[in-house]
Amino acid sequence: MLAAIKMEVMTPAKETPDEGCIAIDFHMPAICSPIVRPGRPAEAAPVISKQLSDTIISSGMIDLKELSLVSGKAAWMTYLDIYCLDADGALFDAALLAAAAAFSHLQIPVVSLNDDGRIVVFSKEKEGEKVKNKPVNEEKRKLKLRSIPFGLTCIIHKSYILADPTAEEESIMETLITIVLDSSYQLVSLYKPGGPALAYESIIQDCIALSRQRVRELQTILNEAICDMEVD
Amino acid sequence: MAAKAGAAPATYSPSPTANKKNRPPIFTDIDWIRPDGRDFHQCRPAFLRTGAVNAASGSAYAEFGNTKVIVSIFGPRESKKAMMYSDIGRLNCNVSYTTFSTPVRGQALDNKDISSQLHKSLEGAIMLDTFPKTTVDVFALVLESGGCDLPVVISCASLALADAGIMMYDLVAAVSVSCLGKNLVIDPVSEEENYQDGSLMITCLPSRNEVTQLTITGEWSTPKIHEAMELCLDACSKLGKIMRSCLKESASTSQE
Repeated sequence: MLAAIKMEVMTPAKETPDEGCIAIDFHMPAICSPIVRPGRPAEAAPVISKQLSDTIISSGMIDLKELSLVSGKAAWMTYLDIYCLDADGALFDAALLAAAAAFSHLQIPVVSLNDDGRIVVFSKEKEGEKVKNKPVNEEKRKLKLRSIPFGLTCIIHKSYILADPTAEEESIMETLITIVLDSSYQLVSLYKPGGPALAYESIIQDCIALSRQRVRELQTILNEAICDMEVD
Repeated sequence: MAAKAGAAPATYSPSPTANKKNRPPIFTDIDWIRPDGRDFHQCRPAFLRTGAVNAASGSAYAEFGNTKVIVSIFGPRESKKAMMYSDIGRLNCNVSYTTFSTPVRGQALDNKDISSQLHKSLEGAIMLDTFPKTTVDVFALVLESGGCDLPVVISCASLALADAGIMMYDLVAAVSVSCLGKNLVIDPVSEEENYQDGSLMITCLPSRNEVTQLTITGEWSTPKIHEAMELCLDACSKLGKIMRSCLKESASTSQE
């Protein structure tokens, strides 16, 4: 998975004058899997896109107010694009982790308001001549992530639970269940798209217990990665 | 100024790159320093790896400076039903860009053109008669565009084909040269490509000393072309050696 964020400036909607916006897109290019052909996008991609944006926005990971620049005038439009480079099962879990990592690494450029009312990147060279155009977001260089959601996909077959399935396992089995917990182990979403096997309460409880374990693992992995990035 | 409710709000990028049409005078002088501090005739350091994508039958990752590319090979697999019977195999190439590969989002180049150029330069090197009635798919994704995208895609694709075990006469190495004023610069970065007067790209089979494709655009004089071709061919043979050693390395590690 590869995730990247591009930010552009937009005029916020009237109803929410001091909120920015996040657009999340999940792409499955032809390179990632033999079943995807160019010109015919994979069926799974829009589903995962929607699932991701629902999860990220409803989990309250990001405060949209932090993306505001000038109230009612300008705010950040954040495009998060996630590319699947190698599809081998549990795409949603990996994409969610990539999204969380991208947001925690996001560095917002310092910008200022110029005379025409447009936002431009604040550059140090021009500092002398344009003292009057003060940077508008000097203290908002990083997003504060409140709680980071982590996902775990399980396959249910009879009484067995298979966590984190590969692409091959996913193609054989029909009952999937995806659980998203946030960093304080609160349940964010539970997703079971059809499938013949009934999900009993005990099985769901077991899946949630597994997810708890997984959240702990993923948290350490993510923290290590962020620390490494800060050292560089 | 406020956007109408329901309509998508217009966005713009705050960086000033969009309205820079005039080329800085620096490029017309005889002596100037390249943006990344290289000599005019010095290539960017290349990083090549095979086996980047497990789901594919063969794949490779290439990184030349800021240009990062992944190529996956699928097949040989059955040609589409609608296709006519063919004694020789078919090659299907597709190049795509990520939305964040270029400085302004979603401003990728025309990839049909690049796909067909990739097809033309690989076609001559592959033994198509070894897989009749089937198609080999070559899919490339440019993760980051930092100049010289097409040559990097071509070299990376031939490495991926070798990784997939597709029979080839030789590896295909591609290098391009830009003409900037009085100077020739090899392996240009995007900034140099934007201000170039002309460009020349050679894709060749280094050990057979055969050229599969030669593209020249812009203004060139005959001696310049000679000089540029020599530069390119020399760089191609060096790149060919690097590609070969990369394949050897991956073969020896997989044996262990």
